[in-house]
Amino acid sequence: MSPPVLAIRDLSVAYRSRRGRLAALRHVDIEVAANRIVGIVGESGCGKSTLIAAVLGLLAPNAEVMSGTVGFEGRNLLAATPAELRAVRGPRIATIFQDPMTALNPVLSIATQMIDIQYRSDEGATAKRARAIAMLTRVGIPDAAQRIDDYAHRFSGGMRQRIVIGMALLMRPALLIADEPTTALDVTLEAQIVHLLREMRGEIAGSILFVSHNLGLIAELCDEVVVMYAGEVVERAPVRALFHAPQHPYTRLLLACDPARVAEGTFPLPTIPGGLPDLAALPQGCVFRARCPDARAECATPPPLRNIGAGHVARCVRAGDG
Amino acid sequence: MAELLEIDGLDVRYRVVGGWRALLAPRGSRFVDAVLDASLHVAAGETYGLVGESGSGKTSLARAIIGLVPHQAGSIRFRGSPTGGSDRAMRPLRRDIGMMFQDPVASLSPRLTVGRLLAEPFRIHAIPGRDRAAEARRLIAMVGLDAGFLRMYPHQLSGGQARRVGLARALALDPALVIADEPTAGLDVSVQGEALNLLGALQAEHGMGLLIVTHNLPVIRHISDRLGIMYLGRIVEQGPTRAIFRRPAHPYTAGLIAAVPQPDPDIKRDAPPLEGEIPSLRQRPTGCEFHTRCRFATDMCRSVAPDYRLIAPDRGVRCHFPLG
Repeated sequence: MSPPVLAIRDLSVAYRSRRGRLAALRHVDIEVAANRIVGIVGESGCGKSTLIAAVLGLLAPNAEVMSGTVGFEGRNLLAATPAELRAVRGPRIATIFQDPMTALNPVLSIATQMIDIQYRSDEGATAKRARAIAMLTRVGIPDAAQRIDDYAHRFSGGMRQRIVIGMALLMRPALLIADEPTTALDVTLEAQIVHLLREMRGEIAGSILFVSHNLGLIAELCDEVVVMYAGEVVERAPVRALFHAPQHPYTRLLLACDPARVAEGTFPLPTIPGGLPDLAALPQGCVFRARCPDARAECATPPPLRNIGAGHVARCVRAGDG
Repeated sequence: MAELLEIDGLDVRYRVVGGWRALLAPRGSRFVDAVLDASLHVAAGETYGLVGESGSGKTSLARAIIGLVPHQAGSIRFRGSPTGGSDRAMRPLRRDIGMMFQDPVASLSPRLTVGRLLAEPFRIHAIPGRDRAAEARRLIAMVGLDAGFLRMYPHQLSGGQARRVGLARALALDPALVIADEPTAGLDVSVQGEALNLLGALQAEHGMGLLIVTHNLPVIRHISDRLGIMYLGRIVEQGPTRAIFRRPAHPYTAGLIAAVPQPDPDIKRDAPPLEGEIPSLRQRPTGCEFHTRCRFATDMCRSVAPDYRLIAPDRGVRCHFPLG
């Protein structure tokens, strides 16, 4: 097998705060192989945003990398200089964020922005513009040749997200990070954007790290899924194994809560009682113990990441017991 | 069941060009119609789900009910009597209709503690003879938070907690009808059930009517008795929730239901169920306003606007050729 495009190993990140160190990420291992779409699913506070910031070298000033490496194209991004990171971000790793309006400059036309991001290319302005128009057409902007001179506010939310995807893919990055790219969109537009991502994947021959809290989107788009809870990877599996045979209790409960999976007319709706542990004073043992319906005495010691086979691992003492 | 709320032929229009520019603008472009010819009713103890995408007019309709935006045509009757008029005239009505706003934190004053926020409805409506501090303690317990929250300010609350405080405020004066605008927006899957379970349990106890405005189809499916689907300000389909999900009659409803991603990796859709986007309210399509995105559109759909008509005693649709 070819080496992974992105290899995050043993990554731990903590934030300094008045209440002490908040252990936001602890010993995270994630691999994204060439041509694969890996989904990261988790609720607020699971560490998704810190993870993306660490990969992109955009951690907040009060964040501290406690351990680990982020391997990308043969080097550790955590040890890269700001200039090296700038050479990676954009051309090699592109990112789409939740709100397309904040990703587009409101006072520059789309044409200016799409030509600007090709600054590493030797082509002339006319060729760059033609490439930008071709990409806009490809992502479904009607009359791209005319509309490329418009400003971001002239486009609807769905169109803006299409433009951002087009801009991200213009330089043919090896890795696309999509951070909740459809959360701000209506459901019919969401379906269109997910369809577009699936189509584009075949053309760019790149990998996608797709971050979402929407299990339906993860099921539809991803090849592999990583489930995060309170800063840890609690389960990692190929998409079918995760949805058909989840091993970690948190994954099982999360799937059970999804209203799209609940039987019609169920009341009360299932929930996961309790809340996240305090990241400044983590409990001993399993992080999910306080909310776990199957917790037992042995959960007071940190559970190992158990291998269930075929790329499926879960951080639970009972994983694989059936 | 007695009808609690009856809305008939409601239009809500917003002025988009004002001042001297209005003199130059053509008549038709000075206003946009956010709600057009909307009719619905909600009975006591019933949950009605009003569903639509951004810009469909669902929030405008909800706000018109309690007079936060004026309506230009049609009628709103609450317990049989028409509403409307001045703020003073609306006051008794607002006492009986509780409203949960979309943004739970923004709808709470940042300068008041939760305790004072919960006592505010009693003060505004000058309800005499009740110990307001005791009422605040009763309300906070009712929504499942402990009394310590009464001393907190809204910015110290999580999204779910702020939502509960919003619900406690809406329920403060034992309303007969509660309007909840996107009660699950911004909540994680594991806690959105909590907010809805609470709403449902309190409804079972107090018997109030519930009007839930949402774009979240998977959730509304479980908690509503009847549904109304809005598109470009019009209600295009209405009926019992189960029947609509089983067999949607309007092509838009069918597309909306099919657009919800299914948490099953074995289901892969080939094409998005609905192409295109919602047209601008300023340039409404001719004929049936959905024809620009409808797979079944005919010449008739492009030129003749369909009326809302009943296809079953409790089911109506605004389409020339409803799906069978």
